This record gives sequence, structure tokens and C-alpha cells, in this order.
Amino acid sequence: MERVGRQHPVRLLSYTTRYFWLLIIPLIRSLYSLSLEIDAFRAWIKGAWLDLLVLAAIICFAWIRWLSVWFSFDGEKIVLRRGVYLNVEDTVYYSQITTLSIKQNLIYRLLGASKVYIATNAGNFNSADVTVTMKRADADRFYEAVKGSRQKSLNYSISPNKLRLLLFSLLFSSTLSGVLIIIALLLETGEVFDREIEARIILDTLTEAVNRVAQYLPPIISLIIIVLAGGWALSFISNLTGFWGFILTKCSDCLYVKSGILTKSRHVILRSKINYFDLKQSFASKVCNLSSLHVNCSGYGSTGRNEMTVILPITTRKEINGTLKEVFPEYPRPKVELKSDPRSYGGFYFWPVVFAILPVAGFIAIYYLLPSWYVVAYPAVAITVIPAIWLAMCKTLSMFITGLGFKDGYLTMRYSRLFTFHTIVAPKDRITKAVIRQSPFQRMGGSCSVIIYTSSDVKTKHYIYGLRLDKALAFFEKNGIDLYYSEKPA
Amino acid sequence: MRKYTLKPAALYFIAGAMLVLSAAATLLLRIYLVSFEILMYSLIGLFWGLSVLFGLILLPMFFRRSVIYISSEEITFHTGLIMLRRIHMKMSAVQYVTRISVPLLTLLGFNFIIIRALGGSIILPFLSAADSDAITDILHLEINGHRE
Repeated sequence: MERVGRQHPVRLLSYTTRYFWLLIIPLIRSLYSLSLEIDAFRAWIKGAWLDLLVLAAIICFAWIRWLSVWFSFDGEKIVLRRGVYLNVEDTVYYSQITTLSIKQNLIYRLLGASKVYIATNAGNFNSADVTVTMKRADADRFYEAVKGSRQKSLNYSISPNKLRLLLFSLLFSSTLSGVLIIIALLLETGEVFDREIEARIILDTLTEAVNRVAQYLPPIISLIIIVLAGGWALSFISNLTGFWGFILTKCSDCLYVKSGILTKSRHVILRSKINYFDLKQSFASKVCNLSSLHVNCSGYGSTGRNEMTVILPITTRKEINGTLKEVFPEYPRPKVELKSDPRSYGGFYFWPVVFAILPVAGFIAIYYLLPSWYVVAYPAVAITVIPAIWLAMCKTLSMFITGLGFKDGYLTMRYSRLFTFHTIVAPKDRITKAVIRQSPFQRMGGSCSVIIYTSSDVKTKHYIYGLRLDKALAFFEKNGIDLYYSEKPA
Repeated sequence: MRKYTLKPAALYFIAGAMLVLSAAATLLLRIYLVSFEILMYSLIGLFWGLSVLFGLILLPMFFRRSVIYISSEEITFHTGLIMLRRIHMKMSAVQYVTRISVPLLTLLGFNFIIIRALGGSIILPFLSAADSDAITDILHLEINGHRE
């Protein structure tokens, strides 16, 4: 049965410009401060008629835009029509949907709205092909319609316990992602509110926090600590609330993922469209033999800030094989047969050394050129060298695990990128390009780096460092993977 | 295999609009730039030159050279102005279709189809309403065919 509807009225807010808020706030404030007299109201109208007219025009245009968008869906497709000056009509058949995501943040839940993201393999860079804000009832019907188009055999369902989710949030929270959340939040609110107001609020909050901590520590150190701790805490809270109540259900052709306490998310992922799975580990989780299972599928993990592609937040090594066997029965167990060459181990420390040298060089320069800054520079360099040492530790571990494997038509890639360890298993048909690269030092030692490109809606590269060149060439030849560029040993 | 061409009415409309715009620009320039004769004649020449180049040479060439072939296997779009281009897209790669039409001008051929596929898209421009419907129907049938 076909369902035709318009978007939820909350969408009207995003169709207004930020001038709307700049106008409406002073207008309401001046109206509020009026005395209850008809003359005062007349005087207010006389002074504010132009603002009211502009406001009415903004609302009118937003309303026209809202009216111009409508959708219809039935048992096999969704049609989205939009456009004021042009009529644009997208028709997406459920069979082509790689990921359907339905999200409700706290405000949307209160207002009964849901944001629906529809992604296909058509390659809209790291975003959904179609995004529509539906009434909750419509979104539920649409979810059921897509679900109805999939096979109905229930195979496997898993929900990690709360302690594990807490652990996952602890391990996968980082200051960087916290800072990214703040930036994304600023960009989003900046579209609505004035940037000056926004900047003032941030600066005031930061100054107040720094002043409080500065009673005990130098101001610059206080600022660094607040940014680091604040960013990490925000990332931790975001992860914990985002993955609370996580449930993964696997059917014969689909994966269903539900999660979230503040923002509730539901995803339907078509299994045949998954490009690869990725077992991710941090240094700590590597030592504890824990990993989280991620998948790469167009549209999954690209519907908002700090979004992750995880389908199982955390599992022990004991459980991981069982989970992989249930969720990806056709994929072989990840096994590496071609490991990095001991003669190339030195190269693993290139970036940690660079990251360590830069702050030390800066410190030396400050010591000689600006001696009065020594007090500030000394603790600052100590703080900035810590990540380099941490990276060196990760790279040390990485030397022993980096490598490639191939079994039953699936390529296993194991490597680390910055502080994260990856074990990726991808079907051969998802390998779009394989490149062998040699630096001058690698040429002397007879080793190379292999760069594997996999199918994805964004350019996805996997760097496997420090393999023997002759062995790497033989590996690709044996497994029938064409090399984009290769260099025979001299 | 079905063959579709671009609707000439769109070409006539664009060419006509360009000539009307050039005439209007000439009129305005003759009124407001009469004291700057060299500038006035240069701009008038520029407007008419561009109108003639696009409206009477390039666009007719584009319309004449653009042909769309659709089979159950692939979509082929022959187009180009100076460099001829043949764009082929496998039907199996098609993911979904976006139709664009300009209100009030659909009868004049202002209908476009964007075929979204794995790794890229093709824009089929200036189709008649009937051709636009027919191509969309074929593509939807084929997309459903992938599934079965």
C-alpha cells in the first residue's frame, strides 16, 4: 500500500536562514518588554514593521520550500519529490539501498520526528543519497516496508553487556574526536545562530574554566589540560550514549543495528553490499585481546558527527571467532601469511621520530631565541612528546603484526594507522587497485609498501608497510591480483 | 536497443531567449552607454557574438550530435561539441534515477534525467516528456531486473 506524505514540520526550522533567529530574538525581547497599552503596541509596530515583513517573508519562503518536498513509498520503492524552481524526483528501489538509517535525537523524539538517510552504491561521497525528515509514524512504516522487502529468516542476534559498552567508550574515546564533535556542533549551530554570539559563549566558558584551574597551574598548561580533558570527556559521553542498548541482528541478507539512549538509531545494512569487515583495536585493547567489529558499507557510519561504522562495539578474542562465524559465515578467519620484513623495522619509527623531533626542535629554538618563554615551553614540549612516544609503542607492536593473507577469495590486511590497529578481510572483487611503492631506503633494503584500494563511497586506502618486494610480487601473482604499478628488484 | 534524441524545441527556445536577451541588452546599452560609443559597440558586439556562437552554432551542434541508446545491457550517450564523447554505462551498475523538470517548460523539452550508478552518473539533457517517462520506466524495470 502506497503512503504519501510531507516532511515533519520541524524541517521548517532548517529551511529558515540564520537571519530569522537574528531578527526574531530582538523582536520577541522588545515585545516582551512592552507595557500592556495599545499605544505602546502601535509604537512597536511602527518601529518594527520592516523586521516583521522580512520575518514573514523568511517564514513564507521556508513554508514554500517545505511544501515543495514530499515523498511516497510502497513495498518496493521510495520516491522523493522536491524543488521550488525545478522539480526534482528521486526514485530509489529498496533492492539498491545499501544502508537505511533512521535517527532520532532528543528534540526529534520530543517532536515525533525522525531523520531518514537512504544510501546506495551510487557514490555520494561519505553521505546518504537521499535524506528526508519524516514524522515518526511514517519513518516506522518506511522502516517496516524496507524490512519487508528483505528475507525474513532470523539467524543471530547479539547485544554486548553494559560493562563492555563502558569499556568500549573508554577505549575508543579520544580528544581528537571530542574536538571534532565541538567543531561539528559549532558548524551546525553556526548555520542557525550568529557566529559572534557563538564565539563569545565559547570564549567566556573557556576563560572561566581556565581561570579556575589557573589558581593551581600556569594558564597555558590549564588551557591544554582543559582542551584535552574536555574533548576526551565529550567523546566518551557521545560514544557511551550513542552505543547504549546496542543490538545487532543478522538475517540471511541483512544486518539490523539498533542503538542509542539520547539519539536513537536504527540501521538496515544489505550484507551483499558490505565491502569489508574491520577488526579495530587500540593499543590497550590489543594488549587485552579485545576488538570492535566494523564494516565498510556505503552510507553506514556517515549520517552524522562522530559516527562510527561499528556493528559490534567490543568483543573478546574468544568471542570474536564465534561472532564472525555467525555474522560473516562466508568470510575466512583472518590469517596473515606475508609479514613485514625485520630489515624494514627501522622504517616503522619514521613518523614517531618526526613527531618527537618537531616539538624538541621548537623547544630548543624557544630556549635560545625567547628565554623568557622557557617556563611555558618546557611543560608544553613534555605534553606534545607523549603522543610521539605512544605512537612509537604502537609502531613497535605493529612491526610484528603487519602483513597480508589470502584465502578462499578473501584478502586479509593487518596494519596500524596512527594509534589504531586494523585487521581487514575483503572479498577479492572489492579490491579496486593494488599498488607497490618503494622509497629510496626501501629500495636499498629490498622491501616495499603495499597500498590496497578497496571499493567504497570514499577513497579508501590500506597501507601495509615493510614487506619484502620479491615476496609481495609473488603473493599478488599467486593470488591473481593485478598490480597497478610494480617495480622489479634491481 | 532504443534510440532517443534531444528535443529540438528546447534548442529553439534557448536560441530565441538568447536573441531576445541580446536585443534587450542592445537596447539598454544604446540608452545608458550612448556617451561611451566604443564601449557600447564592443559590448553589443560581444552580446550578439555570444548569442550567435551559442544559439546558432554550438547548441545546434550539441543537439544534433547528442544521441541516447538504451538497451537491456547498457546506456550509451553520444555527445560532444568539438571533442566527440561516447559515454557507456552498464545497466547492472545503475543504482537509482533522478528526474528533473522545469515547471512550465516540460513541453519544450526541459526534462533531464540523472542516472546514478556505481562510480559515476550520466545526465541525459533536454528530453521530451514522453521520452523522459519512457527512459525512466525502462531504467526502473532494469533496476528491478537486477534484483530478480
